[in-house]
Amino acid sequence: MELSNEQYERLCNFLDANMSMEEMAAFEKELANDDILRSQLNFELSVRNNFLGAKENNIKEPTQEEKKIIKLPNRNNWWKAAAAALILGLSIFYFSQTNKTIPVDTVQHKDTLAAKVKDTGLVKIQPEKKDTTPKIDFVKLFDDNFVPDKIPENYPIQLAAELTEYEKGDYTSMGKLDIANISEIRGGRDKQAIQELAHYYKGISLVKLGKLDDAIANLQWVKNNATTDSMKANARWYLALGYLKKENTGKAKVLLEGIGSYGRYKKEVKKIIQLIE
Amino acid sequence: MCTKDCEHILKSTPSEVVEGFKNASSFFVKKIIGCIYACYQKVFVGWACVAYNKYGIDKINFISNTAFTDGLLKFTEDAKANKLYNSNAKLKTVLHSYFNMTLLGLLQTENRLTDKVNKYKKDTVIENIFLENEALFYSEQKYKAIETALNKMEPLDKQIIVWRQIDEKTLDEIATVLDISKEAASNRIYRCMLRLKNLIEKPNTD
Repeated sequence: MELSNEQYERLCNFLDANMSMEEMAAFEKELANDDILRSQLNFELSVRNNFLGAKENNIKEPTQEEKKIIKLPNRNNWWKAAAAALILGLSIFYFSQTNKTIPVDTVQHKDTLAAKVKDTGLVKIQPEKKDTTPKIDFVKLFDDNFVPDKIPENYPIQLAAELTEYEKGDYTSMGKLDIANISEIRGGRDKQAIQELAHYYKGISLVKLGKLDDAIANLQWVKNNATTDSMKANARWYLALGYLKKENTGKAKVLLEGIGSYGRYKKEVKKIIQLIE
Repeated sequence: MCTKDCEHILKSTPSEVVEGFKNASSFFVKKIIGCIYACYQKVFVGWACVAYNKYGIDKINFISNTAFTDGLLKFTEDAKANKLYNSNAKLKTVLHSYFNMTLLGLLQTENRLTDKVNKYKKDTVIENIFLENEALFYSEQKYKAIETALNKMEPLDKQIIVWRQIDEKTLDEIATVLDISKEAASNRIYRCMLRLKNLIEKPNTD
């Protein structure tokens, strides 16, 4: 009796540790009921483990003649490249045709052209510009002041992956961090410290991503629960920026005033308060 | 938590890890180790419990956790010293080799301590070397038998086994190299392994 192709494929996937926990559990049951499969697995493990254990092997290198026999496939993929080039060429041609600008301001054919433009939908109709410039440009104010805080020198490894992304300027994974389910594995930190950092950086990420309500909830947690004054002040700063982005100057002002004498943002706080007053 | 980023890291090459360790960024080292713990500890322990279940689940569960930590330390040391085993493979494969190698060492010591008499008996019976308690461990005698059999095989068959069992290439990788489907690669490898087994069990036949 021999193994089926599917069985052997599963065995290979198992040996490569290329199975989910569920697949592994199913494979375990299969092994318990199939002696041939078990025997094949043991044989393969044994061969592999012996190669692992051997300090050096004396497997003969293939000779030149043998190398010819081990003929690696000559991938004739030229037609794929040609097809890709053709598609690319056609696409460029198509877009160059469709994107030709229409001289809208030609007086002679103004009406006809305007109608054409409308029919083809090639030109977006710009809404009439209204003078809506606010007294305070909140977007600019936010952009001028928002700098994501640096990551700390020492942090729990549970946050390592997200903090790396954060440091690289990608805030998505930190923004999605499931704080309730951070595993309490090694790292020697207590739960409070981990939560504090998690809420803080998640909050900053969410402010940056524009998910302001979630951001405020996370930063509020830090403001209320942080163990150090500096962390509380930092949370206030980013909370204030979040409220500024929401154009809520009242709450922003209260928060900024609460930062008080904390030196880190002293100048910026003073400037913003003056501006929103 | 095993994030996508961590999964991505485990698919990177060992040389990238070596570069990272060379620069000695404590952040990088922590990040890698954190990812390995988050993504791989449970998988490896689960894997070991299935692969070596003949030695008892409780024992394997305990030993494989130790092997994971010890293997990771050894991996870190080797990466720092640029001496990674099987450094052409993917990081995940290399790590698996380290954990497995450490586990085998621990398991073998444990096994031999508790069963010295059996060990002596089993090492002397060549026909059963792949069936007995010591079957999954390295022994010079077994290794010689595999090596001799392998050197008798057809060049391509031998190469396939080298790819699969020494370089630890996955099915997909071998299928790509041979430019055949995954199913065909699986079939081909299986045939090669059966031939190898046959040559080990009956060394005098060609």
